[in-house]
Amino acid sequence: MNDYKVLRALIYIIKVSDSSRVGECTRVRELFTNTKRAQEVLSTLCKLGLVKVVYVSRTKYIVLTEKGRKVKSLLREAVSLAVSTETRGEYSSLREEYSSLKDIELPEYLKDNPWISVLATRGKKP
Amino acid sequence: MLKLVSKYSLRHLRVFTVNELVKFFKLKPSEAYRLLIEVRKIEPLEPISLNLLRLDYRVSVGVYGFYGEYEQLLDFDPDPLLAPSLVNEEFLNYLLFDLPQVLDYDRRPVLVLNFDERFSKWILEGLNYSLSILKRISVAYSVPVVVCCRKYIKLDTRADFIVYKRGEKTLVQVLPENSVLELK
Repeated sequence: MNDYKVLRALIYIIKVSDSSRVGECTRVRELFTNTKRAQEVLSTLCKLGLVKVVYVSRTKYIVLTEKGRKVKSLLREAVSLAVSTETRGEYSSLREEYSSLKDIELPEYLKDNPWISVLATRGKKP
Repeated sequence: MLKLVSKYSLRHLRVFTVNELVKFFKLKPSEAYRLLIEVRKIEPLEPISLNLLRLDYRVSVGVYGFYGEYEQLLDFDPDPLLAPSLVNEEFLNYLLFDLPQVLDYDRRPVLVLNFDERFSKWILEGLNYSLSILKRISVAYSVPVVVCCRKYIKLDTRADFIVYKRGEKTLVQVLPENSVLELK
């Protein structure tokens, strides 16, 4: 399996929901409009052990495996690093300088909270 | 950043965390840090306490949980601000954007009824996140916040009041001090 093929498939991982509960996980139809591309990507992701495809009353869902979740979180970090326009030094020195202040950052257990993403997209006030 | 400062009061901005400012307002992390450092320099307000009239008990700044037959305890001085019956992202939106604006003009303790029924999905995540927002509101505005749940769920609150009946009496177990008090 070549790297380019893997990278092309990995792009879709970011869009797959973290949840494995019915009603919250991602439908295949939400991710792909092209059936051929869907088969190609899903087969790559399944071979890599990153996702499982599950059928619930004739609807096809994609569920992330544990490995898939780890890869997704690393991809997110890579994306935020890539789009960051600041130098790493500036950011870390500020963080260090102000780390003594309470509540300035979200507690670790809330950082991947799905509601924050919901608010960031749909809930934001103009 | 200037737009934010003109739209929200400094005390309101104090409610947000770096992560929220970055995600909701597209600030750079360093801008968010600088902004929050500045807003944390504002003078703290005189704390407002809340008297639980039927219990002869006074609660100060922090988030408190009321559980069980909590209606019996809802007799306060001063009258708290009642959060509207919103759910999911509307509820979180209210807590983050509207409630602080109300408190800017009318600073009072806050009462949230049916707290355990506010989310229809990602329930635990929603409860944890809204509790974190309420804690920050409580500190920023120096007011107590009361959240009411029918069933007891272990939340990261300052103290819990579990109301139950035993015979004719209505009792309240106060945690973590673990005392049992009788309602007047």
